[in-house]
Amino acid sequence: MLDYSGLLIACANGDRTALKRLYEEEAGRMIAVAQRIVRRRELAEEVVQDAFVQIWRKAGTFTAERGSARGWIYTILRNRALNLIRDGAREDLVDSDSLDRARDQSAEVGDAFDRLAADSALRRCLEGLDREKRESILLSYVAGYSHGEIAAVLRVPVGTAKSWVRRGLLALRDCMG
Amino acid sequence: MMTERDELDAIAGEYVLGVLSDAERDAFEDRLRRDDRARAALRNAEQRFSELDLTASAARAPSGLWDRINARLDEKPVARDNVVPLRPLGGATPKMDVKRAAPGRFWQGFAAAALVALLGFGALWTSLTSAQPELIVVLLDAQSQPGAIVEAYNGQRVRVVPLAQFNVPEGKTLQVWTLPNREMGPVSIGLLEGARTKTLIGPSLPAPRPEQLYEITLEQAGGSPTGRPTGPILAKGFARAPQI
Repeated sequence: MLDYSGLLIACANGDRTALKRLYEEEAGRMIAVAQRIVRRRELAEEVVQDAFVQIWRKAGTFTAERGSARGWIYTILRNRALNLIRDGAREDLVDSDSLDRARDQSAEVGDAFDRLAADSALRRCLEGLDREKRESILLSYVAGYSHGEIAAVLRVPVGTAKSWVRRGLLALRDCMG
Repeated sequence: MMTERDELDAIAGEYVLGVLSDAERDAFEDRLRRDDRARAALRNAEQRFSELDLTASAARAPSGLWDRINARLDEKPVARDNVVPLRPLGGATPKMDVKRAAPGRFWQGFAAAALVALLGFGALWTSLTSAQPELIVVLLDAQSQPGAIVEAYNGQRVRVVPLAQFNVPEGKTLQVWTLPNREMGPVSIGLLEGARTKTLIGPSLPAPRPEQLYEITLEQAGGSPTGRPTGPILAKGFARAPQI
């Protein structure tokens, strides 16, 4: 297992080979995770490029106490991807074929769930949620849906989508500990 | 009943999911810098979901990607401290009028924001020229001073950039409206949490057209109960197509 924390500390000290090690280990998966959100491959690659520049710049702010180094990296990645779609890059996709996209992404979301290990606590606890809460959370984490988009896809008011996400999050916490 | 801990865990989870508004996200990031419990809540929330990242089949990174990253590592980041917020700061007064920003401060903020846009995000944004708004609206207050800019991206999404400190008394909220046509009448696009830039996803409306009316009114918290503007108009304007 790669020492992610150690590599981030080395990045903070200006060691580019440490960043390159992280890149070699994670870039491929990061592209795939970003692509679930931004859809287009070339945009996903730009998100990953941008995420690594951010990781390099912000490595000094990472502390082991802050949490898992890998989690930190993926939070940066997801934030970059969400910034990109919320600032408009996805608009043309939404408008031209929003139905196709929704179908496409719900397949992807289902696939992510199906691929969770059989003995995974996350899988067990997601299975324990009401269907609408599970879908709200998965659409949001896997495909980067906003409250408004969840509401549109599940055909409920935005306030309902918000409350499903919130209650689902707390139920997951109680279930997973 | 939500306890304080529930509230924190919920916000941390929403942060990881990426569903917070810009203002809520900034506030939480600020809290992370100084609150151990917030950091612990975030760590736990991240860990709960991280298995989902592992379900993605790794793609093949293109050969030039590392070189492009490496070439950008020497770029100087734009220090946050040097950036004057676009939102002007103003003291609260009990009056419900629109307070104007001091002109110097506004332009300073504008220049700094433009600089960030140019330097900080340059490489990413050059590929996103398709993200231009269809129409831009300058909303003027009763004294014909700019109160906000609305950028309409399509029939559903607008970005609102306040240029003045709207005074929102307790129990009230700012609501953004447009008039797609006479038949539909005024339609709510969404609520603002104070004078902060926000992207609103409203109901699906016809594509915005030049001269379409947009306005911001003061309504009771939660929005107008009738679905039509009921409170005073704080700023309004007509859409224009940007000349690109």
